[in-house]
Amino acid sequence: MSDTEVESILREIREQVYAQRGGQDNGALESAPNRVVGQNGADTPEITPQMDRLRAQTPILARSWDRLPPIISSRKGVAAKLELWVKAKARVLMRWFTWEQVNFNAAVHQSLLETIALIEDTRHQLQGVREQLKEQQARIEELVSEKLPNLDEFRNATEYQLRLAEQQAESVERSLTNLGESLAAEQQRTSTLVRELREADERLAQEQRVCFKQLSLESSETAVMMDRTRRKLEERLAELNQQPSNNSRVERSSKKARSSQQ
Amino acid sequence: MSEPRNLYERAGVNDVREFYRTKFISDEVLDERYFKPLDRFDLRFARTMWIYDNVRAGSSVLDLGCGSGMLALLRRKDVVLSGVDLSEEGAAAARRNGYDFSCEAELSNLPFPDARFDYVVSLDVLGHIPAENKDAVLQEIKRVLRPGGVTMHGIECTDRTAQKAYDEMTPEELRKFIAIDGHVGLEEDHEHAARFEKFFPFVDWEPRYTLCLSSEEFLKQADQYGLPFESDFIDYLRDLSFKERRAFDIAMGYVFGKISDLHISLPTSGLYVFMKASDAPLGPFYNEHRDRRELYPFQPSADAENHFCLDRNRNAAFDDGWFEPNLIPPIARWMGRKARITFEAEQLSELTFDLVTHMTELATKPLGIEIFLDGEKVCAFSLFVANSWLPMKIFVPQAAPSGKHVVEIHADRTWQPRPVSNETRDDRELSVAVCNIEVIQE
Repeated sequence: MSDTEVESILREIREQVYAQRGGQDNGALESAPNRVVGQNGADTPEITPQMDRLRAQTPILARSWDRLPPIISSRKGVAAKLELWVKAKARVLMRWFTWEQVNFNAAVHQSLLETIALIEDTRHQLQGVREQLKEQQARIEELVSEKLPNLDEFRNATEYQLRLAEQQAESVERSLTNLGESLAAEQQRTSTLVRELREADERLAQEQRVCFKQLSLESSETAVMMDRTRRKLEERLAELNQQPSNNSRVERSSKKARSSQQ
Repeated sequence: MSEPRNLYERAGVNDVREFYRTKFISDEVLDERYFKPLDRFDLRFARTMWIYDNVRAGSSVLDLGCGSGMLALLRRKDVVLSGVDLSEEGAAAARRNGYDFSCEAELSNLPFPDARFDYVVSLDVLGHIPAENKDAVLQEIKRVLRPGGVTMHGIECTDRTAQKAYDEMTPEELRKFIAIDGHVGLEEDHEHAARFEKFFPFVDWEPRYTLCLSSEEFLKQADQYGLPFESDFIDYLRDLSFKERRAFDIAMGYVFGKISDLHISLPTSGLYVFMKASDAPLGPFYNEHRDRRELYPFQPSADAENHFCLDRNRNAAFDDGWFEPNLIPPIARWMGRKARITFEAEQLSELTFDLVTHMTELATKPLGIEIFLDGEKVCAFSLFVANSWLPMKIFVPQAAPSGKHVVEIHADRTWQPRPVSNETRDDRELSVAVCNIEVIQE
């Protein structure tokens, strides 16, 4: 085996080990200088291990896509030399047979490289979107922090207005209720007053009737008294007129008067 | 301002007319037509009866300080009755009660010509005239009195040994004393007599109310004037009902009248004196012209109308189940549980009257009324409404024969209008008031 071949085999083994470690040491980082760094300096946790493994495969592909396996022998001595010679010849002879495989390997290698580039672009875009989102979030937070007191005030004011409105509504409702009750009471009072007035009116009418009746009876009594008095006076007058002494006195006086005139 | 005014003012009486108007003027019915014969014994009318029995029928009488008209009964003797009072309301009340003439006037300036009246009288007036004014009043009395006329007065007196003079009283004592009755001119009885003797050659006087006071007056003298009556006696009087007080007053009035009739001279009490004076020799102090026939019911005249009213009819006798008439209005008599009217009628065919009650809670507990004529029930009903006059018309099924009839009204319960208040106490047991009782004959 040549030294170059041994060196190549060793490098391959080392890369595989790095790949298995998951790119956690500096060597891995150095072997993947273009990998995407996640938010706050860390890779995106979901895709970073897979991407690292993918990147670990690409150097192998880049190196071995057109190469056949190395020629080795486990024998010693002449047997080994013979075997290596046979295999070397066979490899050359079998190159035509692996040609298509090489093409396929090249295509796979190219496709992987493009896929990795595409993923990287997408990751960049995602990072940009994340940064925009982060900025927007910061702006929103800033805006919220700026407006929050106002919002509190507004909320308080709104709540106060709401409470006030509720109180006013309650007050209006209460006033309406009171008004209704007052109105009902007033109506009741009015109807009571009307009833009392009607009763008072009836009582007054009754009282007037009785008073007028009394006056009427008193008038009748007075009239009877006057009539009796008048009759008594007339009787007395008649008695006076019928007294003969008076009559003769009158006659005498009239005769005297007549004779003196003659 | 004169001294007497000062005495009123010192007592806190700024409006004397208003003071007397509110204290002594009422709408009580004193009209002689409503006078109940039994009331001649009521001590309330004792002074009235003294004047009544000393006034000649058909004479002219001037009542000084007539108030509501306590002497209206004199109209029964065909007296021409005039009155003067410090307030127009008093004069109007007297006119309402039958005075022929009444007006507002100062007693020291009477609006009458000289020698106008046969009698000038007053009851409970001269004790309200300040001492300085009394001579002017007596001078005025002498002026309006006819020669030979008599002046008679019932005068409140004082006893200086028991009662402080006005000048000795503190302002508070004076205020309290005058606030009771307005007495600003109290003098001892002999001082009054001396005043009269200055104007009249013939003066006679008798202390009265030494023994007999009404139940109300006993309480007043004890509670307000501080006279020392036995406390258990006063407490007894305080607890009397209206009917019991009336019985007490009638008993006292009866004794009062008998003291007059027997001409018993009482010792001076410092409370009251009857004063009689004239420029001519005086007749008997009591009953000089006693003629009480007009106080009693009399037979109706033959020419009676076919209908007549009993309210003011001297033919009708209202028993003591009836209380004194009140101006409700109109003038009506309240009765208790049972009241009776006795009257004469010929061929009674119908009886009408108006009836009212002021009893409360009639809607739930109506007042049962029964009416009897000559002992037979002619009507029974229940009253459900108060304060409304109910016209009643009772037909007599068969015209009752001529002669005396008795209408009796029964109520199943009574009530007391104002039994508690000391000021307006009215603990009469009332049921219904009746007026315009008209008898219709066939």
